Amino acid sequence: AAALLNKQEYKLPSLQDLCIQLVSKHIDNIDELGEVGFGNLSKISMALSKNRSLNTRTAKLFFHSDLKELNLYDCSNVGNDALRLIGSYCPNIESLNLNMCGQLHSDTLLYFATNLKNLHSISLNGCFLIDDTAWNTFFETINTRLKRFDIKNTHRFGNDSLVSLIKNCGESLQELTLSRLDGLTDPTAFQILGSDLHKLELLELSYPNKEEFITNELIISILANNGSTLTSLNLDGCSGLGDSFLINGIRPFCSILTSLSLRYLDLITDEGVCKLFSKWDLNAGLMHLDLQKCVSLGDTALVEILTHSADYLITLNINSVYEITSDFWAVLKYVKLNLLTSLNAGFVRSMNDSTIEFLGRSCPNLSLLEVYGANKCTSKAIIRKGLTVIGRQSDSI
Amino acid sequence: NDDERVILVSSDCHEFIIAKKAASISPTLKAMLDSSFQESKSNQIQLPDIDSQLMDVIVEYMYYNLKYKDDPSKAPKFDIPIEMLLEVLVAADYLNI
Repeated sequence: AAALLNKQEYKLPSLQDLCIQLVSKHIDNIDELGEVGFGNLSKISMALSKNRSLNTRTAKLFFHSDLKELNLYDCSNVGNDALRLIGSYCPNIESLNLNMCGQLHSDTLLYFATNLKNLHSISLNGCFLIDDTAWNTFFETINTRLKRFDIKNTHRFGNDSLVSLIKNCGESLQELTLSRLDGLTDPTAFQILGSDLHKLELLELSYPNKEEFITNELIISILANNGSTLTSLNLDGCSGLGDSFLINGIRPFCSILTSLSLRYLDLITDEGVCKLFSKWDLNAGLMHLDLQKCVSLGDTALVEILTHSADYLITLNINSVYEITSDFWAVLKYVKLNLLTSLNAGFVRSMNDSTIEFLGRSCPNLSLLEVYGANKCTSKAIIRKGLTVIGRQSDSI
Repeated sequence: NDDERVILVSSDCHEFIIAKKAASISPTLKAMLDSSFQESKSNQIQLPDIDSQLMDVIVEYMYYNLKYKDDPSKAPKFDIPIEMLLEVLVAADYLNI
């Protein structure tokens, strides 16, 4: 261990380390650091977060009175007092994104709600110090100002919080993300999402504590009321869902849906997906579709999806949809995917060098192809100019 | 080959001709030079987000690192102009140095 310490002592500091040391040293005279545009602030925040150097001192770099949007990507070391300063130094904030904000206290959140008069969009990851009572007061205060609410990774956002959110802010909510919230344990609490949320455009309900909390019936009742305004739906990890919500929920109600993510839904089958997409005239076409680890799907489902959405698809993820065979890739020889820019076909073992080659032709705009774990893709593949293939065993970094 | 050179082109079109060994301090540049990318053939890398003033500091650091990485105890202090700190940080993050 001594040797290790010694080695560390004599290691030449990286340029980033040197910059960060100096930034911390001069943080109290921010003016000396020169002008940085707001565009760069986000990059600086990212660089500091990556180096785990965003802390109570360096966070002050981002507090400007005319700032409208603030993204702090790693708040692990930013104390509650520093976070509270956002409420006093940045009165014009409209959108706030705090990642890994485990130090955020209830009183600070409430301070935001009262002091930040323009705040309408909030995204918090890992805010586990904030309890039901505080959430309730927060929602009552911010009320119909709230347009985007995005919360992930906390067990303290409970059933009452969800009910309070929808009662107080449901009318104005445009985007709602509830992900990995282990405090939502009452299936009846979820029912409130079925009430009228007139403006809801984006809904993410992902990775519930138990798969049985999110049922087909629940999703159908939510979509029956709110499906017509939705453009984006994410139900990743709700593995209790089967074909029924596709056929009786999405198909009849989601007319303007463009983005759909259904990762880890291992119960949905070819039959269900075909029934959803076959002659689905209500919906013009999906632009983003994520079916990673939908392991019960195969060629028939994928062909039906292309028949419906080929002209619109921009990103497609079929990672680990193992059953896809060469038959599907053969279909792609006749169907052009003009807009497709990104395809993740990792662990789809029927992918091979010749598939890569003709994908380049049938998808003229494809710029990123991921083939991790597809071991028939080798260095011999002929790759069109402008297309980046990553994940082959032969690709070294 | 120790004498190999590469050209880094800044946003304001200044060309910095430096030793390939120094440029390879940055994993980002190294990857561009080693792989099948166009840059490896032309030995010229366009860096449209970095202006010449900033490039001065970057190039200086790459040579500083090249010279002292094997014997850091002899390294003198490396100076960065305070008013450029944040810009240097963003560029250093991109170049991963």
